Amino acid sequence: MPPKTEYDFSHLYEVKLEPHVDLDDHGQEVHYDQYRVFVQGEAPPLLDRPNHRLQVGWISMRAGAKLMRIQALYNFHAPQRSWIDREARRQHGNASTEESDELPPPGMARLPEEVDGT
Amino acid sequence: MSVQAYDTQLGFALTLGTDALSLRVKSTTPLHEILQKIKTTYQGTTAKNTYIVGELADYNGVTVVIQNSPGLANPTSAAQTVTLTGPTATGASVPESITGSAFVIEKDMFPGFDIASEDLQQKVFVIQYDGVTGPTRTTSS
Repeated sequence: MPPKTEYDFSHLYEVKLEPHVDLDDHGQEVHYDQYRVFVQGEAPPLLDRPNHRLQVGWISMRAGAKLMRIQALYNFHAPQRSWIDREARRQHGNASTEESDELPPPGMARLPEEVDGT
Repeated sequence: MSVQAYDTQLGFALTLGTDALSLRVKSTTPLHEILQKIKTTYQGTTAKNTYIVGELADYNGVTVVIQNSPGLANPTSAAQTVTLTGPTATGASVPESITGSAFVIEKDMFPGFDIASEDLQQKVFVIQYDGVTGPTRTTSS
């Protein structure tokens, strides 16, 4: 099998990891062991987003972490998603070497087998 | 910035920080916060019972139904960071989400099968937030 082509979209977008910090009911900061994964850039599909950026997933701070995708990632096409996944893991520094699973769609319904009429 | 005031039911994502599974979620129940009501009625109270709200919150289990992927691991019962993420509204950068430490307290080890159903195989599991960290909510922005 030929090696998988690795696309590069760094001329269009930048991937940024931001530590996930929320506020609790008392206004105290709560720090979680994961990053928000953002894509930022002056190109579609980010032009109508505030500051031209969009959260596309989460990635745990743990060693061997994988990108955990959310629906917003699917605003990008497959090679872009693959690049975003790779960039997030590269910036993490200690992430999995494997791309996150993208489950294939359920199998197509099988056509009925042809009946031999002879 | 304009964020949609309303959005549809489609686009939810569940992330398990340690298990890092890609799950095809069909449905999920809401996360429900429950606070105790403490009666403050005394002999001098008139007309109505009076109450104050308790300080400690409880959280119900969140039941998640997923499409079964026979080659995928089942979620573990380890305490881990669990995030429920809603769809990202048009014009928003960040979706509404809830995060906290949680564990799976019930899970289908193996799916059920029914000849009368043409639906996909599915599994059900229940997530319980443990109250150690969070859960906290992020509003869409």
